[in-house]
Amino acid sequence: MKKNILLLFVSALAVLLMPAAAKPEVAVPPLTFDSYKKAPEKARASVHPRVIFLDKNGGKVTETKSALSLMRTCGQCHDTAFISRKNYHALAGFDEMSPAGKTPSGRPWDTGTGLFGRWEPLTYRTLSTLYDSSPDLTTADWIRTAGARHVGGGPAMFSRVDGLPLDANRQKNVRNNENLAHDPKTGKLADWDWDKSGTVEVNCLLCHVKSPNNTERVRTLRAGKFRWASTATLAGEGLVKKTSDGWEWNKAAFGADGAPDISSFEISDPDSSNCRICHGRACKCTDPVVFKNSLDNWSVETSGEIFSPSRISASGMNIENKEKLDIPWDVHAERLVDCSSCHYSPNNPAYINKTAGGRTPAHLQFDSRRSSINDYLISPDHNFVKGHTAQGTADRRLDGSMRNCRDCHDAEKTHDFLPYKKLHFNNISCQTCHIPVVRAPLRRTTDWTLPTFGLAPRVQHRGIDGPVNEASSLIYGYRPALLLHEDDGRYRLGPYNIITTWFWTEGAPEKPVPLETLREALFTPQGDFRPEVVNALDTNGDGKISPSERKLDSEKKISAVAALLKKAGVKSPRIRAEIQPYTLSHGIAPGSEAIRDCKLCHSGKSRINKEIVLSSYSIPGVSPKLMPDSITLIKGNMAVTKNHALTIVQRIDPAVLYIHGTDRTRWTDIIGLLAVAGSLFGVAAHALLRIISARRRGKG
Amino acid sequence: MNRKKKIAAIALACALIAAVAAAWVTHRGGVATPPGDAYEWSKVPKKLSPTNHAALVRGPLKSGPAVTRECIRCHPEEANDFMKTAHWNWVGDETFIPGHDTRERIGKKNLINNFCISVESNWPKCTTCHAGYGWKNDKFDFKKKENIDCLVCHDHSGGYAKDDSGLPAKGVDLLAAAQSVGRPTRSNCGACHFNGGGGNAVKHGDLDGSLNKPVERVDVHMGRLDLQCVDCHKTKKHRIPGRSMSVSVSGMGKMDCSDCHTKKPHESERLNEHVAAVACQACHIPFMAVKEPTKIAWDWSTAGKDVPVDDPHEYLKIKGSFVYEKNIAPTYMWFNGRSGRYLKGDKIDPNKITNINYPLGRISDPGSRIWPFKVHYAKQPYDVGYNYLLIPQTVGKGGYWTDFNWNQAATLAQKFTGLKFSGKMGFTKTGMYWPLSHMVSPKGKALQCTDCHGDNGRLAWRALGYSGDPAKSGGRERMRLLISDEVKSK
Repeated sequence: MKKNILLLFVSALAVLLMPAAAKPEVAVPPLTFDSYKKAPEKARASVHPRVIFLDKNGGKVTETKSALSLMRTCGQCHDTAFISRKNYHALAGFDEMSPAGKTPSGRPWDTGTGLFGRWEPLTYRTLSTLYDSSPDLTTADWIRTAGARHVGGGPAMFSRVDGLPLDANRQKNVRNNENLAHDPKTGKLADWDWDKSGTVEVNCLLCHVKSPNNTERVRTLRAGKFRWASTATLAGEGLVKKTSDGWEWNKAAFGADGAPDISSFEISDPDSSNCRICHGRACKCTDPVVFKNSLDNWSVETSGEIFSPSRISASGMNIENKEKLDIPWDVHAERLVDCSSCHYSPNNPAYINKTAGGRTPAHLQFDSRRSSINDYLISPDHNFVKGHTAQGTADRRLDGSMRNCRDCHDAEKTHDFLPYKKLHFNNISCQTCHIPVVRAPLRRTTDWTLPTFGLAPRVQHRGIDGPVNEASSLIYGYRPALLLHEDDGRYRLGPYNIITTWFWTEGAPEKPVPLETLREALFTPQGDFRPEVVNALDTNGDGKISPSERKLDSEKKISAVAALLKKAGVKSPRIRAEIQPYTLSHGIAPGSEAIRDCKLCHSGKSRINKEIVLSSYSIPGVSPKLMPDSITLIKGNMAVTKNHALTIVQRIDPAVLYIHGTDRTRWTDIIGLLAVAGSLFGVAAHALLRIISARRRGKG
Repeated sequence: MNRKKKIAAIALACALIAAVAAAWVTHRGGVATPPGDAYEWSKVPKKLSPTNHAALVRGPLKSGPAVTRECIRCHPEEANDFMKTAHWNWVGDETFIPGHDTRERIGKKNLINNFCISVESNWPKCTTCHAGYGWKNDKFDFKKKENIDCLVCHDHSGGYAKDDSGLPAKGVDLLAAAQSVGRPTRSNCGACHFNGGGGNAVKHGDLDGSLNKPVERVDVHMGRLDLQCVDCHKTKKHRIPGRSMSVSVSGMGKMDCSDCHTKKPHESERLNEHVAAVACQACHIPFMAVKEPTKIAWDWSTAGKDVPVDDPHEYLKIKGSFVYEKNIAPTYMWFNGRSGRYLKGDKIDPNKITNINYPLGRISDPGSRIWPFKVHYAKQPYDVGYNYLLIPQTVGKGGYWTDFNWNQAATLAQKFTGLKFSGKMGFTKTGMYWPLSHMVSPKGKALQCTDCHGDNGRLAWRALGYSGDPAKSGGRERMRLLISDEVKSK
């Protein structure tokens, strides 16, 4: 009986499981052909010839197992010495260095005009002078820190003392900030061995291969393995792999001649996605634009510029009225204009426009003389042409070298609606109307006076309702401030973002208080604000300093922090504030979206004279000053609003730029009134005389 | 000057000022071409109020032909007109078939496709969509007016449906349908055109059930403006203009976007320049099958196998394997409005893809423009002995869908199709092209420059005959690629 029950149970179980077991065996017959699938048109391969990878001594890297030297490798055909010398991306102000305090920025501690030597208020980092006993950044520190946005070469290869290579046999007994570096673990200064680290050559791969691995490059720089930075840029291509102690070449991926065999490695001219690596969200792709505000996305953070052909309506960002914005982020990007289309090499024979700007005899419309393609390919000038920007302080002699809008566009033919065309074109830049609104949050204020324990400043953004980088915050956009800027010897009005920075300085000559000193002065070793800070800043009495309380908006608070700094050894601490304008020249809207409302500028409520908010609070007794090397003018009255925001109301001198409908000059008003009154009086008198005359005639 | 004269002088002066002002305003505005919107709306037909037929149609109506007799009572000429159309005859006017020496009348009635293959020998199922009643074999009487199915196009009751041989489905209230008649709606046209090939979205990539009540994302004309098919397919004497190229090769009777829109509809001059080389549809239909998947491949060779569950989007025992996709980018080709056509009995190379129809056009032809197409690929039966595509009988007794015997199906069909069967059949690959004109996106969703131009553009420029991306290397006019008629004649 039991046996039967067991058999019955097993049979029932088998019946129950059968369909489940049988199902996978009966497969749906698949299609027996796949010719319905579209084969994409194969892109044309780069015509660049095979390149033998060489190391610094000219040996094949596959044999010597050494780091790739692009100066040697690319130098087999190109004049790499010329390329790295004529290259402001590489020099970063290295060729414009001066004694501290003598640079156009006017800062007593700046030694250069560019990334190398000019204090960067957004990162609070500065290259220290050679013999600064408490340096912020030594040369090696600078490479590890700023190298993420530096292409190599210049100061990353050569000494600022004598111009010789940093890894040449140097006097190791000289202890200056070129031979020292901070130990990342202890934070203390230690000798830096350039022979061991090597130097950072100009990294051609960053711009000339389709997918350079910048993450590995930056990681290698931060690890202080400078020599291997170029090699690391190739990570992921199958040519080289990372090992526990360095990099190892994959010999199988190379031919017998030492040149890479793999097809994915192609050398080509740069496109926008290469520029994006350092400059932020510039991309050819048409995927929905999604971005984060951070200093890794430099252009978005500072100026809200997004150079993408994608439509704003397709963006993943929370933008106000997005569904109606069926326009590209940048109309030039949409029309296939690449970064290098405008910022071309000055000796590129295809781009050079020798008749632009009247630099040729008047009888010539086109000067056909130019470098041969051969000469250009050997020695392409990498001092790419550029415009006039407030923030591009290095190599100002190249300002305005690029084609301007009117070199390509015939504005006369497309502005029929615009009265006084010539006046407008001469006095305002095209971007003034063609960047009507920036639809990305952009930095407004950086306050370093009371950083977090992790040394982050208090930051404010424009154009967003709510915290930045939060999906629920609404990006409503920013109508740029209009400032006057110098352009070929005259002032023109253009769109800007303005970033105000507050920070502590010390001593004489003045220099920023190192962030580490601030941390030591303001925080306990456990990371809490010291009681003195809490007592001064805790307005709601909860014993903590909330993010909204973290500001020095009263004399009492400033004194409390200053006292702590003094206690920490800071000599005569004081707060300095700077205004750095950022020129907006990308993110151009289609013509249909350009500003056509005259009243926006020409009325009593003109945007030109509208108050510009510098910060949501003010620091008493500290008035932000415009950076003198920014080639812009901001004149006006600073004021604190009812909401405690610090603002500036611009007053453009009518003698520099008279704006109809906005400006008033007393004598013009008087003359006008007199003219009207005189006309009325004349008509009335004439009529009166005629009436009298008619009556007299009638009586007669 | 007396008072009357003064008033007259003032009135004259006012009139003169008004005339001068009017002339000035008119001159400023320009009257040569009405501005875009007004001009375009003037071409859209005004919707007429339908005549209520409830009191006009008398019952009882027991059959389809009875309904038609009732219609003809008042509309005798319409019946005569309709009997001259392709919707009735399923063949068009006599025409020259590119690649063939003869002029023929072709149409659904006698052509092969790569879906259900052919009407011949399969009438009862195929003619479900015929605008007539009772076409069940090759003996159908095309001269009998009462066989016309008026309701399939004019029913507004929503309760009308057709069954095998085009007869009204069981249970249809014919009187209610007849009393509801009016101007054809999208649902009337869609009953057949959305379901071509045996199901929703099978044949066309741009016509499916989502157009019955579309949102503007699917089709801006039908979704935003609620346009009906006949608003654009403006019908005269029951001849409906506009042809797909599956059964028509001549390019006659085509419609154009410029029937309503201007020839230069864009604000951008550069975009207007595109119009000479690019069909509006190429940019304004960025994706086909926007909402519902369409069939893009059909493999008859796998048919006949028992599977646990038939899935009309993957495999059916009677039809084989399918691939459906939705929201897909079209294929782009030059098209001058005419097309080539495989005719019954044409020889094939079974090792190559036989294009059953294909667009005619080339870069050097000024009349050609780049058009978007749905391409449907199939693997279908051919006669190994005679090297031509076979027509199997699938429907009815002994048909493939009943007995799953290919040789028997091919043999049975012989007497209807006139195609001899050698006794040995195989499967060969075929392709069919379907130009897209519906599912027009709102203009904000049309293709952008970088969708076609640049590194990742969707157009295969060199395959189209350009040396490279024309945005950089120049269009066909600048590169002197066009051959004028004068050159051609030499």
